[in-house]
Amino acid sequence: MNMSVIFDHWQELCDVEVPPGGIFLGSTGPQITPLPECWPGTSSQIVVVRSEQRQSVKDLAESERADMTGDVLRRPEELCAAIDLALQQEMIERARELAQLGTQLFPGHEQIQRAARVLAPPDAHAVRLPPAQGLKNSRSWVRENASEYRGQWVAVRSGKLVGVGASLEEMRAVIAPGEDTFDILVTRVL
Amino acid sequence: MGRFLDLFLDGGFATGVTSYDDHYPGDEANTRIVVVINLEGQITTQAIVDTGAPWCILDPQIADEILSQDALLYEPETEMKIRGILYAGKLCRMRIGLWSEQAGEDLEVDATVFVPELGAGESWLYPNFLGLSGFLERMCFAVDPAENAFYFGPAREG
Repeated sequence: MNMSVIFDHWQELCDVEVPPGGIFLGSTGPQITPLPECWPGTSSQIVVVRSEQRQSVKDLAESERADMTGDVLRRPEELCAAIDLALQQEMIERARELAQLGTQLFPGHEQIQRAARVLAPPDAHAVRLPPAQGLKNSRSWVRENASEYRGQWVAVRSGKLVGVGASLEEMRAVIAPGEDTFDILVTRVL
Repeated sequence: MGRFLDLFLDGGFATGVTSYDDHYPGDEANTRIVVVINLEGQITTQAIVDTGAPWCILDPQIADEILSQDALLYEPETEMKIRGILYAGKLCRMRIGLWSEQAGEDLEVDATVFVPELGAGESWLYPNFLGLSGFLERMCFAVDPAENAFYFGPAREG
């Protein structure tokens, strides 16, 4: 059974939603209690299974991390596998939740910390970018001339072709870092 | 272009507007919304706005040029499903800028971008995409097809 399914089952079975700030605790495992032998008409083999105890988020935060992980996500590698599985299935929100959860459960685990930062929701803000001149003319040039450069990279500045190459690497001289490249429209023609 | 800019600016919906092309270079058969973007302040290129794409998708050659050694990356051990197809690759965090061509302000998004990993001799034959997850999901945007205008602004908390 994959980790995502386990995680879902786990929440379902416990009938508890795991919040970003905490996780189901009380990893005592199912409580198995043999019925008394004197129970009329029953065998001593019959057992009662109780679900695990639940604790509040506050309790969880104060608990030892090893206990917090329960039986399912005990190791960071397992959480990473669950994150990867969620990504594989395009379950992006689930991957984010798991990564955020991981930052609290395994604060020293570099891979999980990195996953949480990369998967975090985007941050958009209004800014003043350095001005780019002549992009409209460059787009016009690409529209009119792209068919002559299929499969190639082109670099266009203010409506004039300044570089062509089979790979972007070939155009390093044109788009070299340090040069003001905001005005140069670089695109690969399909 | 930008006949709705005042309305959107006053209403707090958008902060800027840019014009877009209907076709990605070399792909005249498909109608798209193609905008000019700047990546990490280094390369100005074109990308398709695609609300159906799970992530922004970037040509690996561009990623090789702009990503530094200490770039923020996460490389899953499994392949990732992108538009229904599994690809190996990595997710990267990078700044994507949109210029406003008229009054208003430009936009910069700290975005998550998928960069496919290619085998030896393989080429990436697809456009760049601006996807919903990791980019558009925290933006307000609107399209005026009569003027090929793409309005944009940061999403505000309700």
